[in-house]
Amino acid sequence: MTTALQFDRIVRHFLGRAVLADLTFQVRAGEAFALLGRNGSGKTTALRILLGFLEPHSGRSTILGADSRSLDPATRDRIGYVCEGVAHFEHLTLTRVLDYENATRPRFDRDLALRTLSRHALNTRVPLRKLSRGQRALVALALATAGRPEVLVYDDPAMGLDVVHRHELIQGLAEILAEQGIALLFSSHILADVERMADRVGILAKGRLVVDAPLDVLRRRVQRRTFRPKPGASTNGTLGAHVPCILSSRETAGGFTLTLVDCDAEQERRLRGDSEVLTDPEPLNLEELFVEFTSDPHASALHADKEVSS
Amino acid sequence: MIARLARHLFAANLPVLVGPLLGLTSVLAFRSTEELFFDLDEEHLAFVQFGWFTIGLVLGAALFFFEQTPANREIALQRGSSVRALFWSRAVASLALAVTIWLGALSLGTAVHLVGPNSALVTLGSTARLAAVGASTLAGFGIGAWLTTLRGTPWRVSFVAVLATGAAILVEFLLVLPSTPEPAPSVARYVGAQFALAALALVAASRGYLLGHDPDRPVRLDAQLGRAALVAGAIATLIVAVLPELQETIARGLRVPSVIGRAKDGSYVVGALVAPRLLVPVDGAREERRTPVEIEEVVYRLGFAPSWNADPREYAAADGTPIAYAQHDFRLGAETHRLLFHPVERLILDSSSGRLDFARVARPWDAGGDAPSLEPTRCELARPDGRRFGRRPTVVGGSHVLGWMDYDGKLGPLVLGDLDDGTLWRVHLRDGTPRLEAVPLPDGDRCLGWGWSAAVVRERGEDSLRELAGQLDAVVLRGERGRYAFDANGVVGPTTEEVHPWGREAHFVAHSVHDEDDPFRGRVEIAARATSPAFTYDFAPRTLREKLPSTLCPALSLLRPPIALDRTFEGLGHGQASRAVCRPIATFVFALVLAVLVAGTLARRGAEAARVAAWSIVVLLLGFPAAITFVLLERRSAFAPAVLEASYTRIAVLEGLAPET
Repeated sequence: MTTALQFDRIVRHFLGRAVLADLTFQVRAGEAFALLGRNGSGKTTALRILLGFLEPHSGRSTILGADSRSLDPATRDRIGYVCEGVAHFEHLTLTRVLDYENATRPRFDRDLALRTLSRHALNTRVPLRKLSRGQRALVALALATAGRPEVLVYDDPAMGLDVVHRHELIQGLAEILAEQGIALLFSSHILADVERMADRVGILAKGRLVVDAPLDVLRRRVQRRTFRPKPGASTNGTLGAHVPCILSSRETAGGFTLTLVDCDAEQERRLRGDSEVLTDPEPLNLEELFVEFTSDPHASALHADKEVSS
Repeated sequence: MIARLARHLFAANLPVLVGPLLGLTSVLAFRSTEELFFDLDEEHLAFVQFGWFTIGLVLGAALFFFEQTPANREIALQRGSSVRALFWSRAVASLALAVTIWLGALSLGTAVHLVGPNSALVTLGSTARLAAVGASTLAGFGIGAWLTTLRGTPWRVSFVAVLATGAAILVEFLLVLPSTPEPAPSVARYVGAQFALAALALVAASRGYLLGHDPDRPVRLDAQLGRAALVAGAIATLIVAVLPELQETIARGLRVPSVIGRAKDGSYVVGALVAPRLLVPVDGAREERRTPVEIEEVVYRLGFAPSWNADPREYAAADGTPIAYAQHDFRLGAETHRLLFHPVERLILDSSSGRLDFARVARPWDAGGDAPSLEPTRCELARPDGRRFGRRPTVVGGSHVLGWMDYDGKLGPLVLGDLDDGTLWRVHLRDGTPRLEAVPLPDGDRCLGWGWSAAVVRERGEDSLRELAGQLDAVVLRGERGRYAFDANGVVGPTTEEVHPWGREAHFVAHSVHDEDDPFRGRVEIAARATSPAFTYDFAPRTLREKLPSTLCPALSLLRPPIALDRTFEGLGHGQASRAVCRPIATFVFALVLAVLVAGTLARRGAEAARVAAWSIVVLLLGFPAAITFVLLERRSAFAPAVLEASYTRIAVLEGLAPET
């Protein structure tokens, strides 16, 4: 498959704080990639850099083979973009919006947009600002996809929507993805939606992409186990050194809950050697994975061990 | 695409057009605004100009502010518009609105006045001048547009924006307001300046728009230098306009001891005046002698002197010629002299045409119901001999109260003297068509001036001098070959009457001589007259209260732009004091120090060599204004290195999770 978009060692900082540090990943044609992260982790910044609205301090990004810093109108016309919470010039009516789009985007298919919008029975004579938030999100999606884009960049599509609107939106997006086979890069806080739509997920934390993996691979390689050390055994500063696959640990009534990554046979043997109880591996859902990778490492009970091992 | 964008934007902002257009038309159509056509050149000019400028400013700021919203910008860009196309389509659409408002309101307002009672005032010339002043809308529009490109920037940049606006308005006013004795700007120069200012601001706005707002990256050097030129220019303009005035004020404030008085025995005393005739003397060390001295008269007041370098002050007119009222007025395109100051009539000598411009309204705007109702008219009066009026007109028997006395509609005989060629002209304004008639002096003599009859003044008392305005029978004309008087029929004939000396007999002549390099040091010489002895006093700062301003005043000069040290005094009417406290070498050294500091700061931040060099040169040339501009524009955050949170070590765990590509 060809590469639809790519980030190559992107660095961007705001007021001296690195928001993106060495961001590198790519999305291939027909792939849906979810960029996840906590608030302020740099998701929107990454998308804006990709579309040439913001310059990185170093690194390079490309979309449809063109450098983000010099996207020409023809290339932009092959890209659908919906920015967070904004549908269009909100003082225009939907009819005027369609006129505007038709006039400014050669690939725009007015009939397709109308067909998409007609499913939601929107009033085309009122200004966009008078539509509900959910309706505006649907309009934005319909406009972005009516140009039959090869890449769709969608910044938090379901933000602020109620359950019904969110469901409609995701349904619509899923249909479009299925019909058009476009590459999708989207950011979201709604992890259930991500699980429905994404082929791969990337998790941004502290300016770095700490996860870039297909969801099923991630679930397979990251496991959770309960560990109770042998009586009298010290867990401070030694366990992490012996078992570097420990991503995090939390102290519980029955011992520790460990999150492990790529635990091989040797590390399994060491864990068992130090344990009185070690439960079987359990897979994590996306929300648990997200929390594991984005929470403060200092909250980990065995954090000291981990730092020593790094 | 640009046309479509512009059309959409124009249509979207149509409501913006309708409001101001209707509002301005209403204002211009209001009855009292006829006064603008009658008297634009007086106090209304700055007001009108400020009004137009503000409308443009608001329009430019409002329309571009909307467009600068990041989401809007991104929506348009994503739809294939280039930033440049987006800006200029916006500019064209918005400018069309501004011009429509400017000319539309003017046309509609003028049309309304054309059917009003004073329609005679609405001539092509008066409308053109009103339109010319309206060109300020464009300048305001450009500045407003530029200000929006600073949106989202820190407070200090907003501060710059306010400064820049202030400076722009100031420049506007300096262009319009009279700066005697400098010639007034022509209409072409004025309108050209407005267009140039608008173009400059729009180009700057376009650059700012292209770059967008990114406080975490250094602004590109060429764009930054453009912004620096605009901002430093604005600050320099403010400094040039305000600083000399401040220095003058400080210099004037130093006046202790402020008075030289003449004691009863004829001797002179220096001290502080505590009562009209009581003066507390001081000795050479500024020590007060506690006993106040009663003085005959005040001979010299330092505080009242316009500056140390004042002309010799004599308390008696040399030839007794009173001041003929000829106000140095201003009009776009000409230096003018207002010869008749009247609620319903106005007579102005336009030096560019050498003719008189006469205008009359039906009745004064602020008059009650008993005011006279005259036939409104407007016309130009040329000399019957075909020659132009010179630049030294005088109203014979006039004073600044001429005209106001005539509120009941009975205007006295109005005779103008052209002292350039010595001719006299009677102006007929109310008996038929306004016209000029020559008033010959006997034997073709030339008029050199005029004064009040000494006999009349002796008879009525000196206090009556002001009341004589307009009374030609109390006037004595001075010719090359003799003196002349008007008879009851207004005919001029020889007379033996003496001309009354203006003011009282002088006992002295006060003459100040200042130190060329220090306005705070100087000498006042009182020349002897009659029995009074000569007297000399050397002023110099001696006490702390005197030394402080005398130190502060020159120190302020360091803030001036070094390359414009001389120019700072030109055309702004500033006096000798501010010029004298200027220290060119110190100012250049100060600028050099600032340049070194700026260069060092940039080098520490890791800026490129070209940026360091460019700023150093700019600061060296423009001094303090450029240094302030540097602080405002070159933000530390733009050069700050990224700080990574190094403690985050877990990422290594998942390396290799990404699928092979």
